[in-house]
Amino acid sequence: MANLISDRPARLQVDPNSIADDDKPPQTGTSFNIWFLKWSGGDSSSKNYVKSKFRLNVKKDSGSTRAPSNSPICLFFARGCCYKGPKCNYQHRLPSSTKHSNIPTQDCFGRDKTADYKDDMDGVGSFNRYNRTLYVGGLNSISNNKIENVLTKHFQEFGSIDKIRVLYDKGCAFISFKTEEEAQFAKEAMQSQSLDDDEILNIRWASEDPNPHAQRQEQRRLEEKALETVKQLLSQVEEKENKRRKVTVEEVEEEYEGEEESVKLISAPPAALPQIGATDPSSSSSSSFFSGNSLAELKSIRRKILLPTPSPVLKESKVELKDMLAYDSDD
Amino acid sequence: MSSVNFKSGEEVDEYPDICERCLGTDRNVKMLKQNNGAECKTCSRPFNVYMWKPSISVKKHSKTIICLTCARARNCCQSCMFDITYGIPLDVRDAALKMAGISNGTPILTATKNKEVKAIMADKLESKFKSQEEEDESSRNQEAARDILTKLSQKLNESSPKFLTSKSDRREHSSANIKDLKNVDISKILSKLPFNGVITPPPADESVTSFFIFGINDDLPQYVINEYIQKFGKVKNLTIVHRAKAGFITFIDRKSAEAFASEINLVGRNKNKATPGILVLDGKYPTRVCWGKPKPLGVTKEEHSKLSLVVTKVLKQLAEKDKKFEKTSRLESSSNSSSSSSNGARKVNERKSQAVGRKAKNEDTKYKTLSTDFEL
Ligand SMILES: [Zn+2]
Ligand SMILES: [Zn+2]
Ligand SMILES: [Zn+2]
Repeated sequence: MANLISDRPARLQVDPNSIADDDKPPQTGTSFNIWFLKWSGGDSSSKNYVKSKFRLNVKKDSGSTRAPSNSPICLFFARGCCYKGPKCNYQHRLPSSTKHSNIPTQDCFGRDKTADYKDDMDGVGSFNRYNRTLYVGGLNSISNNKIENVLTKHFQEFGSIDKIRVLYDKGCAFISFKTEEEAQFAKEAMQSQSLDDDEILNIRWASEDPNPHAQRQEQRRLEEKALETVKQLLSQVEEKENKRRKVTVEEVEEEYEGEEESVKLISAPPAALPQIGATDPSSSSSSSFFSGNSLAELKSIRRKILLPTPSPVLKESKVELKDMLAYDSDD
Repeated sequence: MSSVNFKSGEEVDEYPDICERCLGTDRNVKMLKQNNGAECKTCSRPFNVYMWKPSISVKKHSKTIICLTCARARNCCQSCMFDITYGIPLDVRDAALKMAGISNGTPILTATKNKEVKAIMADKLESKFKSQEEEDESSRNQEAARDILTKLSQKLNESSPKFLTSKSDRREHSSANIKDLKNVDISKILSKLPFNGVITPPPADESVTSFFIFGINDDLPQYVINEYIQKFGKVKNLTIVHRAKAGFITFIDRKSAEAFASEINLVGRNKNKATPGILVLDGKYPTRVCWGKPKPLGVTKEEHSKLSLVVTKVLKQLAEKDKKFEKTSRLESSSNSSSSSSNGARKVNERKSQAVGRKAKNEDTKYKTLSTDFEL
């Protein structure tokens, strides 16, 4: 993956001066949003589906920007319409080639998720469910039996596809990716795009699969991940060192709405005051687990655990003909 | 943990639950507190928002997005919602705890969508936490955490992951569907699929650059197949229908296709060259691969399900054929030391190619018997 990251500067996807006035869609809202090329506000229920004017070309458009390698990805890059190019403060790369550490409360573009999905399953998504699957609606010419291949071709550009399930009678498909970040990116990159014909895709988050087989599968995947995580956690315990940290809390009295500008104003005057309130993390409940005598105990657990665990690779390499025979008959 | 109010100099009894990772790498963290500054994203009650910069170089402020009560109910960070003790996602943690036989007793506020109910539940939780505070909580927590890890490590030590959710009981799954599948006719689809194909020799028709792949396990991700086949050349088409356990791979040119075929042939999983080659992906997913042009795999759920049953049946038959072949070739080699198993394979292939015309007729009847087998 590392060699995917080129040092070439990001390409300018759109010339800001090139957006002509008559390209603007008819006014349906109260203000024109240059990013979405849509009028926003007003009646949101009457979404009109217009084919996107832009489309990301991963090979041509990816490149370095002003953003550090751990910053979120540029949403407009994904949509193919960032006019900042190399001067952008967000990354112009695929999720699989960034070092952006995703936290469950935000998507790969740094947008805040909500507790529940929107009623139409559109939007940023929920932090209560790890969702790797997209609903793709608006498929045409679905009967030609090549739709799996067409979907693979178009969506594979943005991430690793786990599974594609086409509902031929309903004209839609479910596409699962390896990770949620890849799904987030593909959702933005393919929204309102066309496949090989002139259809306009309508992409949403997939609801939970009610099929018991699929649920068991998801449960098993989670358990395997949990096992892996616990093993990693135990191996990290030894390296964990206690750091001392000073935390000061300052109360804001006046009401304010905005985020960054207003915060700067408020934080400016008291900066001259001395900082009080030193705290030692080893006494806080949040880090108590890795401190003191529990550390020694964990080390001994770790030694126990790392040695006897049988390597799964060894077993796997012994797949033989009888496994083909046994395939599906005993599970 | 004690912290001090900036203005009054008094001790603040509330301190946000924020994990080390969110606090950042700086030794000194300065926070802004806004009393009742936002609505908690989980329970929708107003809560005290904290804002800080994880490091000087970061432009965007980090902030808490859920209230302290909700964070404590799930033992997570108020900002990133990772588990505050272990720094791992909550669903992963809950799965680990469940595997260790420890349920986390605190109710999860996601059970309802009703805002008011959520707020009432959160109020109750808050008073519960307050009464608990009188006990010596930090030492209790520490014990609990140690207990959890010890139990988990014991589970991990118990050989392999047999406590994982078992793979689906497909017998139950399929028997429930067999009745519905009785009237589904897929003989047209089956008659075109090259279940009797081979991986070597390549077809005489040079324009064929595609393969039929079947026996695809539902757990085998498409990207694993894609990553593997890309080693041999550019892939023109990839159609994988998991529900039918089958798919097609088309390379852009014959050279890549032949490279792919000879790799499967050389790996040598399958000594019997009269049956489709065996390709084991990701070390644990065996599939059968043979030359064949892309054909329809059906469109309805029922057609796919029925096709997958046939695939399972064919896999068993092929495995039995291979077994028989190995037995006879072993006998041959013991009686005649110069004739190796590969020699035997060649013989079979010769016999096969002579009987091509005959085979085409046989195929149809064979699949008819196959499908009647499933009409129980
Ligand atoms: Zn950008
Ligand atoms: Zn809350
Ligand atoms: Zn955090």
